[in-house]
Amino acid sequence: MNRSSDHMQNLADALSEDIVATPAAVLLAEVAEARGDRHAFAVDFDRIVGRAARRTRWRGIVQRLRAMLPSFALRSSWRPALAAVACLAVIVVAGDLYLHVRPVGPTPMLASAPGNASRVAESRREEIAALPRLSLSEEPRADMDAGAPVAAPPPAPPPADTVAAPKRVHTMRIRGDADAPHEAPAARPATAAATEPPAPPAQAQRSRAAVVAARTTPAPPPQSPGAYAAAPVPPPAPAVAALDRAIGDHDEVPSFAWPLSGQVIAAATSAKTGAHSDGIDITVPVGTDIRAAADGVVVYAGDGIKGYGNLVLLRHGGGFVTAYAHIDRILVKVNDVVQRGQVIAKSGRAGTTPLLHFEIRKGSAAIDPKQYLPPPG
Amino acid sequence: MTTVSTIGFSSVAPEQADVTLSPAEAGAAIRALSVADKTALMKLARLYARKTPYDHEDLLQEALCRVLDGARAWPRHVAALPFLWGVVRSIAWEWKNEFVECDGKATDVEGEERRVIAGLDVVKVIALFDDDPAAQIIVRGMMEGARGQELQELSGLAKTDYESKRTKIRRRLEKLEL
Repeated sequence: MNRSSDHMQNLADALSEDIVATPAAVLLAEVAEARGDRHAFAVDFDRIVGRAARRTRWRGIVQRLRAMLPSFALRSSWRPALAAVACLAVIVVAGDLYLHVRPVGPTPMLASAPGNASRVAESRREEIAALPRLSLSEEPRADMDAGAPVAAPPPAPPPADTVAAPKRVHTMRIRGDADAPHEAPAARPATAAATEPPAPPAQAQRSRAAVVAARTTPAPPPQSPGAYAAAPVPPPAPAVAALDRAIGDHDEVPSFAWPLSGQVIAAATSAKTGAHSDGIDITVPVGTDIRAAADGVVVYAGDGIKGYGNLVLLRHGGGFVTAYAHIDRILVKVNDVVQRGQVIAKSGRAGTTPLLHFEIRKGSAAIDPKQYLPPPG
Repeated sequence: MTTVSTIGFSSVAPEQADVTLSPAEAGAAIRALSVADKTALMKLARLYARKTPYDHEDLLQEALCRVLDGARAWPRHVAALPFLWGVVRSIAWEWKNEFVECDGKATDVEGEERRVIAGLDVVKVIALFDDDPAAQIIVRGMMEGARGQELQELSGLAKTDYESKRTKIRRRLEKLEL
């Protein structure tokens, strides 16, 4: 070390030489005496090294960015890159908004897709049916007017992925409905809304089955993934025509029958407490035949609705839907046309209790099934 | 001629290898320091940070940063402790000078005040050894820049006594808050 005119600097240099020359054991003993831990200074040193390394890393990043900025500015290539990033951000935000804010009903773009045409057609039909003197479907009426016998065409061939398709459809719709409950009345027939008494509070919050009943439609026919692009609107799917013919006059209340014989263990309205539920529970041995309560079309068959187990929904005339829940085995498929009394499933159990949960709904509102069922005999 | 680096990172001839350590090598060398070396560096930083505007941790951190980012080149033939000691010392000197330059820009009253305080520090240190004339002589010699044999002769002590005295001086001054 060079001699300095600074006395304190010279002193520090001399002391530093002493420190460097001091044996390690002596140094560590001094630290232990001062701080109680031989490694206290080493630990502090490691902490400082870590801090220095982080700071150096940041300095390097900043220096690299500073070095890059002039080249970016010269090339001006950042402008298209920035524009592309901005466009991407706009698309992502718009898509997100669309998914969260979009209306429940089919949009024109979706309606143009052949797979969704049947859903759009049915939605329109429900609106038309709400008008007193309009028929549900033009085609069957024209046939009837011409006096031609109505031969129900075979139901639409079920797609290979019959089980998967309805799940995908109803899942999407449940979410949309839950997100926008104020839109539900638009999908309900106006006549039904006018004749029904105002729903009690317990009923106001519709169950998921109600949502499915009100909104589930026949599954679209199978199609290739790219078939949505620029496809012309096709005529109503055969399944919709089958539905129209199966349910007959839209204003007529179907003649309901008991789906099976058994003891009603839970009524829609409890005689004791007055509590309301959406249907009735009928206790029967597991495996008992469950029969269609009226002529109709299967609009849902699956186990995708939580709390209902295996569930079958039949759509009938007059805007009625019947639900058969907690069943053991499903014997029908979506779009199947069923006759009153036809076996559609085998009964199962809810928890440990063997029973059938049966509901009748008009539109989306649950109705006490006993109002429409004949006295049990 | 093949030489072995004092810090063990190179065994090739200096003419074939880079003259200085890369930042990555410097980082590895710092992390490989022994506990005693780390302790010594901390003590050195404490000494040199006196009369700078920052504390010893800032001083050591700045020294390490300059080594790690390559601003201070680390010659391969220099061992870690002497090299880092030199870096710490030069930064402390740099900061102290900046401090003095700031004094120059400040009012004359403030500059004069600092010079008086610096003089008081010397007086304070010497007064610390009023009870030990031999140690006081050694401290005075240290402040004048005397070293080794010259200092020992100045104190008039035998080698063992001289070394023992220097250890006592160092310990007492390390505890001194200036």
